[in-house]
Amino acid sequence: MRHRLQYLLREVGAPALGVLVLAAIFFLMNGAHPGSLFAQMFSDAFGGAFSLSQTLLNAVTILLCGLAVSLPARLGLINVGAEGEMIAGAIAGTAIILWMPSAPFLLLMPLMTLAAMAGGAIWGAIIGAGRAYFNVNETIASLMLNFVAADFLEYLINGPWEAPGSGNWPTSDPYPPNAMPPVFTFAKVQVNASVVLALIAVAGLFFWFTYTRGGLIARFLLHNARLARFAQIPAQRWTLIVMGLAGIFPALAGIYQSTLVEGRLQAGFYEGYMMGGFVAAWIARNDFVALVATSLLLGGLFSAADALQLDANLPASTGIVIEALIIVVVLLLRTPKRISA
Amino acid sequence: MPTVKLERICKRFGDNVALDDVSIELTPGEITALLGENGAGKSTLMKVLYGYYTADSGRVLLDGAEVKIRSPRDARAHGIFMVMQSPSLVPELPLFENLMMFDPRMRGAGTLLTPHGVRDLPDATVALANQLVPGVDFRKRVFEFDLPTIQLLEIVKVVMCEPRVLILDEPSAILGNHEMRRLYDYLAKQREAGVLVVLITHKIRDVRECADRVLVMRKARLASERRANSADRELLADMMAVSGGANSASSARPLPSGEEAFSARGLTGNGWRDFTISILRGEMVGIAGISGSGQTELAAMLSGFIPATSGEIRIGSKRVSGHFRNGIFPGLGYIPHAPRDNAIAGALSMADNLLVRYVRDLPSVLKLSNNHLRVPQRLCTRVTDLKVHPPQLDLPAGDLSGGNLQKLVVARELGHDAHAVIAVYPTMGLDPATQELVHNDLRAAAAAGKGVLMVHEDLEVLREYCDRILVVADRRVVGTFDRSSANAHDMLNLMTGGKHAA
Amino acid sequence: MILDTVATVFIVSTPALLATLGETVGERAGVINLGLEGQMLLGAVGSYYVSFSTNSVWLGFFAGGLFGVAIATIFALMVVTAGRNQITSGLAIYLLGYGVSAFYGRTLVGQKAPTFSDFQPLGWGGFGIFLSHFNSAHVIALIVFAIVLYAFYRTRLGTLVKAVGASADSVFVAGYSVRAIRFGAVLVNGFLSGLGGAALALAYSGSWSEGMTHGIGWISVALVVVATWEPLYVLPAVLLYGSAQVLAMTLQVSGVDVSPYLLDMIPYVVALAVMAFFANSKRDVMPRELKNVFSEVGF
Repeated sequence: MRHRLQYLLREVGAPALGVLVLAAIFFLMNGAHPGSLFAQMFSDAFGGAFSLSQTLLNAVTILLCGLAVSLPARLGLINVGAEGEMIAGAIAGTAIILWMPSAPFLLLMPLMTLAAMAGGAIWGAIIGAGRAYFNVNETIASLMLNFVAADFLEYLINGPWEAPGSGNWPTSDPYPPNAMPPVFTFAKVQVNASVVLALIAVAGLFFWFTYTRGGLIARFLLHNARLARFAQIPAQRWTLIVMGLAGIFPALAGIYQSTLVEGRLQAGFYEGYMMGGFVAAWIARNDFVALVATSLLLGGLFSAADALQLDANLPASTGIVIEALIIVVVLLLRTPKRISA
Repeated sequence: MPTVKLERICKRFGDNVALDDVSIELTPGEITALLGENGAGKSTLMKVLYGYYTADSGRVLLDGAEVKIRSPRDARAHGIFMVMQSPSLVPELPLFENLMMFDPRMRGAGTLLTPHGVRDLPDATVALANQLVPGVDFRKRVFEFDLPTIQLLEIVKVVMCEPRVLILDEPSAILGNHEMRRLYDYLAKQREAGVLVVLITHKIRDVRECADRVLVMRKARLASERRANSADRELLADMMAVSGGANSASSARPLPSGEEAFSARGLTGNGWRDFTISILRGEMVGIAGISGSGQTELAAMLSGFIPATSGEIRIGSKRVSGHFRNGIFPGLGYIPHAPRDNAIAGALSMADNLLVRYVRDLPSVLKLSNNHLRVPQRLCTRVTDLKVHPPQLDLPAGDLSGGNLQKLVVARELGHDAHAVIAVYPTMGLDPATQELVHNDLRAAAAAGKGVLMVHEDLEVLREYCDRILVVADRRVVGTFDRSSANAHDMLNLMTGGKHAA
Repeated sequence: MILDTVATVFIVSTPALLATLGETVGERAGVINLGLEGQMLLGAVGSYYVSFSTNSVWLGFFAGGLFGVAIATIFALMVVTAGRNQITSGLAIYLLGYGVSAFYGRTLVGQKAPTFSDFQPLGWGGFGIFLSHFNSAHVIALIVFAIVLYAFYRTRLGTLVKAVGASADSVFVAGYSVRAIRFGAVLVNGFLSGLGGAALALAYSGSWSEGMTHGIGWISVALVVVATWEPLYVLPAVLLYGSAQVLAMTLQVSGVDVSPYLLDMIPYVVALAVMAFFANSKRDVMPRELKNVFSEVGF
């Protein structure tokens, strides 16, 4: 118990304090009162049904992008391709919607969701196949593919999918009402269907890595790939499958973000979430349950940053500065994960 | 010119004793051969002098005055230079750029931006390089040279700094006769110039050709100091570990049955060509050879740990060579060398590491934190029998000492239903009691009807435990002995490239 | 006409040229910095601010480089001194550069700072007109490029950088400080990418806006791969990117029905192809020490 407390103080308390101190200095430098601003930010993030709904909406997208980082990381792979996977999911889902805009909800919803998942899985599998069979570094490849996906998205909404008369900021046609994912309301807090899917994913991954043989295999691959040869594990196939699976989560986020937030396919809908997911996953040390908490925290930060503009006349970029401070502080203050040699 | 004295040097790596209270004295104008088997501590001792390792205790004296050498930089400042066994020329860079980094005229930040090219190399360096490697092209990138040439160029790189103490770490492991001849001539000249030369080697021939004095190391200690004209047999006896204990009960060994447990036919790859072997059930076959003769690669190929290019492998009655991609062949136990890197994940629990071989037998749903309850009973028994310490299977395997880690791997690889076992240096770095435990375990595996192949550094052990010994040199089998005909002298002769009428 | 196009390609490529060159030097020393975009943004905002407040475009331009050095110092302290994960630290630097530049750049939006003006047309006919497309920043960029090439290929400093990225142990054995060399290479990367940002703000767009690099920093990371980690090939790699950009613009103007966005993919796709090609060839071009960065357990 004592140890656990010490651990929490060292690993969570110290970095949290560090972030607060640095953020306070940053606010003071810019003539804002840190105490009242922190309180303001907290209430913008978690105070009240509207704030919570907004935070939840951000958090679930961050969580899904974080899973795309954490899952491969559990096998020693570094995936920074969540943005491309979000776009791939949104494009694949939108293709279904545009193809059968008048289909009934019960047909359209599952179809577009499945299509989005397939799109993300294929996108991730491309990265995985490159790594497994062509020895292409998955980190750099996934990064490049983000931009390929973004350019393809631009091509679609400026070309074949451009809505007539959408002017200087082209988008696709607005989605029909039947393509709107269900949103539930609990005590005035809005919770959309992707929250449910994300929590199922978290539970599934947690189960996989805690209670199944596959989790053991993943451990071997992470800690010493040579052990895979003792266990006769086809390491390449695992790389391919895991990268493909990891692509599914951001893809879900992509189609739900497009439908729920934007209402149409448009450029830039994905911005900031991949980085948020990476930060969340990294702070959570790729623990799926801890990732839920860190995603909520970052989701709150995103909401607060949006609100700061109105409340304190501070730009939304304040949120990005704080996000950066979080990583720097956590990187430097937290003991690096040491693997006994 | 300094006299170098190393006094009471001790060095441990974890709980592995690499140097145990070693004191030596070296005199300028002399070539000293430092002779010993693998792991005897000769490289470690010289790396302490070079500042690559820091000794746990003991001191270094130059001309009677104590000096602190904490890094290669310190050693160089004292004129001590070492040619490492692992090449330190950067293969991607052209030769002249590599030499540039070592140009003694180029020190300090002021010279960082001085232009350099092939023409800016010191004349002495060019002459030296041409002496060791006639007609060398300085613009060629290092990886384009062959290995022996690279080794000679390593020497050029060091010698251009005009060392007062020159240490060469097993140059003969890579150099052929022709290149060694050039090296001997060169070293003789250095001796004339008053340089203190240390030649680390395990070849008697090096001693014959150029040494004035021989220091023999064995098992982390200085075993003897002799003049270079001592008889070969004396040196060999000093050098080879003579393991304690009589040939206990080995005479009452059952004969191998006629059934084949493991065979390889025409195995090719990793420098080996057309290797063929057949091991019967109950038979224990040993492989002897100087380290670097290709035996580790051979064992890795035979086990499926690294793929072979072609050839056929059978285990029991099954042909398995089609499974190269998946890893170690089914029905085979494999104890690789350097198990910490090759067979264990240090961050995972001992239980997880033991279960590596049983992944396929595990239920698909289980509680992974309870893995220590899942280790098959006979494996647990083996772990207990081998006295693995600490015995708690839920502790990280990386916390185990070298010897206990090795025992864990032995327990795992002998504990499952295998037709054959391949063990590579299974007792390197272990204490004598544990060595005997492991050897007996391997012998027991053979007695239980498995075929056993063992690569070992100790000829006495091979003679005591094996039914048949293959001697390898330069990735070829150069001789085969059975128990009755095996004697250390003939085997060593073959290992070191001598002729053997067998 | 052709000369004009060549000029446009070069002008478009200049910021990426400097940034890619910097990243190449860093990666050759074994340090990958994914914060390039952030460094460029900070360089851009810093240069624009100094140019605006001192009324000197030259001071502004070099201040851009120094702002890059400042943020790269943070990165170097994290990865070289404290030995933290390069990928994560790089992303932190991106966010920091983006956030800080956007935050402090608010007041500069819409302001007009002194910027580089194009050369006066000389009376050398078509060639004079060709020259008049350029300004001092482009000349400086070329001079910097030449200096870096010289230092990289012809001096001991360059040798040490190359060696430390290929095999740090060899450099250690030779008696050098691996950390000092890497720290220096990271700072060079900071200076060059900061200068790249300054070139963008003061010589290309002539204004500041949030996130104005629009991914040039990221594409530069890709272009390092296209250049096969050779500073000499940075120029052709960057011109490939510039050409695709100019081609996209030209086609759009002339009404040809090829989407400019598909052309934008070219550098990334080429980078992927280069990686796939060399990863399987005998001679892998990726610096050996860089590979270790990606195989760290539990990043």
